[in-house]
Amino acid sequence: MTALLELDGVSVSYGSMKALSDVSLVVPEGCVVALLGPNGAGKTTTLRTISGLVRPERGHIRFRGRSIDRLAPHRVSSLGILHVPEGRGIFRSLTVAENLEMATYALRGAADSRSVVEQALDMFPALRDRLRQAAGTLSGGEQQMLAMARAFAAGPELIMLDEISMGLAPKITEQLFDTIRTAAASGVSMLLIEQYVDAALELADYCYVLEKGRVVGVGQPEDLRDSDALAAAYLGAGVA
Amino acid sequence: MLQFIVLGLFAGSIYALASLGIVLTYKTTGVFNFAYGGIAMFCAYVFWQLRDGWGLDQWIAIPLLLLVIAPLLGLILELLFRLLSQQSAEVQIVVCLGVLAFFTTIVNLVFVRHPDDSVRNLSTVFSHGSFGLTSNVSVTWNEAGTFILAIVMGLGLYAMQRWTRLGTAMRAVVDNRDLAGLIAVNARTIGRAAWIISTVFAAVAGVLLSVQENLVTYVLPFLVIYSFAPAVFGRLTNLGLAFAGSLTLGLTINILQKYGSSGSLAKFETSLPYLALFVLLVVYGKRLTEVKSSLRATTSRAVADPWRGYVVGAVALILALVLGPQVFADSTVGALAQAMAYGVVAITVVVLTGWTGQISIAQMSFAGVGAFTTAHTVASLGALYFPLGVLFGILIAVPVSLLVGIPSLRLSGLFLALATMAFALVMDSIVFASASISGGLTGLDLTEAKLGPISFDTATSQYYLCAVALGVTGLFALWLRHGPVGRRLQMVRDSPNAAATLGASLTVTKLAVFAACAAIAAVGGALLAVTQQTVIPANFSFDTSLQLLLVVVIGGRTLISGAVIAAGFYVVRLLPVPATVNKYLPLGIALAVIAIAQEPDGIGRVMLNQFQKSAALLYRIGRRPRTPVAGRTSSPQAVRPSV
Repeated sequence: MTALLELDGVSVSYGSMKALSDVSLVVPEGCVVALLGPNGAGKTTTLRTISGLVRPERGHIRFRGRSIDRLAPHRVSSLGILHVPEGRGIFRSLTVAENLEMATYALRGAADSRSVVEQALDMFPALRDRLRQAAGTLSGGEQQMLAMARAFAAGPELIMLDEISMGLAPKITEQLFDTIRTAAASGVSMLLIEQYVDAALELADYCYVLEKGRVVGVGQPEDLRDSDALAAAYLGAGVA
Repeated sequence: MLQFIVLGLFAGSIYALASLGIVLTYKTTGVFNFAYGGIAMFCAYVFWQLRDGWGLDQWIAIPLLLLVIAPLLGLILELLFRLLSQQSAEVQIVVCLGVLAFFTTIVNLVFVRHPDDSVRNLSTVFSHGSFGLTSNVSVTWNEAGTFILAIVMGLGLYAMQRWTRLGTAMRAVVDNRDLAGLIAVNARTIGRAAWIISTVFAAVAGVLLSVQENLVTYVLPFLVIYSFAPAVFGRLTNLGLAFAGSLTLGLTINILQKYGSSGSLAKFETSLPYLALFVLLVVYGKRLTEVKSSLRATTSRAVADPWRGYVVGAVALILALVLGPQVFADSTVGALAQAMAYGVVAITVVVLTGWTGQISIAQMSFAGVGAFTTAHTVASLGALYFPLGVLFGILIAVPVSLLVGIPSLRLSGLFLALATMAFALVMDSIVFASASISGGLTGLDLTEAKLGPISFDTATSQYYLCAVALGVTGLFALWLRHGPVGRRLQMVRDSPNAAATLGASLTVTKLAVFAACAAIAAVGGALLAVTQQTVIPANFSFDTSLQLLLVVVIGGRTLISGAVIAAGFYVVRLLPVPATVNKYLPLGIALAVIAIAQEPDGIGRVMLNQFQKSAALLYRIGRRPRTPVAGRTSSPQAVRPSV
């Protein structure tokens, strides 16, 4: 099992505030890795650092053995690391079709935009009726589907999903999780943040628990499910 | 009537090209291109040089301009503004104004070698001649060609944005810059494309405009400013609205021309675009979207002028005050007096731009209010009423400044700069252009002014008057800065939101400072009138306000010494220096402003740092014990004064 993505002692600060200290983690090829932890633990910052939106102060990020910690976001994403950011990762003023066509920018190798759009629509048929509509007018669930569809259509090496279930009805969330399961089964590597811990544990092959910018626990879901580290991270040290 | 509609559509289509270019770079990169007129003019002159100067075939000259020179220029501008993206919004605006000054001066230096060259004909790029639209309305091929070209280019830009991959990516970057990066869109490439397209539009607009209005260096940039109003009409983001607004503007101006080619309506015609710009800014107010994607919020370094600097400054001023007239020849003393009057106005720029983060390109207009009011008062009441004239000047300047300030307060940074610019241009084209107010091009005389028994008819007396005024203004500015007002202003600059949550409503404070600065500028204007003995509208034009802003920025917009350095630049222009100095000084100023990104606080800050270093060194040398005392190691760090 080779490491697809590797973080080695990464530290990040926002001004004088330390957001990540010495975070090391590995996403093996073809695996789903979940980041768990309470608000402010540094999960989102970890993803933003990987995709180049935030520069690490120290440490290294390697993708297929290549150092990517100095690359601009558009370079990182053209390597095949697709980040679906927190909130709705869509261009509100563009139509649904245009949003999907944007995926071709991340494609290495030629592929015409039509086939990319088709592929995305196969994944989320609900979007088919909405192609000419401005993305900002979609419902929250549809917007999230659109963001994910675009990421998957780009033929990713690694998908990073940041709280895709946020603010969505359980039914829709379940549908999105199904898509993740299908994608995972087909061998797409993923790094995801999820507020529903049970869902995350069920989806993931490995989990990392973050607290206050540090990795405080790591393991397979079944080991973590009842572990003290997870409860402590979410509920405070005293509980454990 | 139809003839006027034809002319209106023709003029409007040129404005449309310019406003599309301005909107495109603003919405994609967040840079409002104040220099657009300068770029357009430069391209027009290049075209003239290629085709008429060197005799190249038109069909070689046009592709050379539009496919090589203009895109190259666009790339250079993109690079310049990308380097600035880490600076505050004010610096970006000022540098843009510096670029404007650069292009207007470089055209004068390169293409206008001889006074006769200042007005040149540029023949049309289309066929000569005309065709009849109806029996008595004819349209020249130039007009028809221009209109069709504008429509084609406008539709082309629309189609590009709508249906091409690059266009979609461009809209994606405008929509959400970070997200675009996350799906492999390089915002830099997109910005580069926007700059290239925008500059090509500038070149086309410049050439078409020059065919109509001739190549005149002092007219072209202002005509391009006409298209700022439609750009704002499209809220700086909507290409369609900007296009429609431009045509409407062209039509309105030309239809007005039908009804009143003389009298007050004629003046209204030329200033209509500026009035429209001002009114639109006021009406839209907060609804205007400020594209901040590529800008960093305004932050100020914690700088405190050390009191030591003030003391040295005060001593130097007093020494100069006493010694000046004894040392220098009369003409020099007169020049210094003028420069000090100019310095009074310059201080208001420091207070506004450096301390409150408000860019005003209208301070010389306020000075003009003071100057003309004083001249009129003295002319009709007598020299003894000079102080009353100054007072009248203040009484007029303050309400006028409130008129500009109240609506502009809702706007920030860029939009205040645009509003003051519109105001200055309105003053130029309506108020100062009115012979009954300004005495026409030759201006008004102010040969004698008295303050009680003291008459200011000699260079020496003027010198003392201005020195005192400069000193008092400086002290007032220091009080503004270090007193409660200054602390409030600093709060807003550092964090407008935090200041608001503390309940510090700064509307009144900011407005009061703006009005106070207008009043001081009016006094400065009155002093300029006394020292120059004539008051000429050209000395208080938008151009001079722009120059003032630029030299203050070079001098150091956060320091009083910045204003003094600005006054120094003014002296150079008056003294009998070699002609080459005067010739290249404006270019040097423009280049220095463009380079200001390296040291946003200007020369004054550099000098202050040097001064502090040497003062610290002297202090250290002075304190160093001659013989080391046993048991005590003397380390330089230990005695370094805190500076």
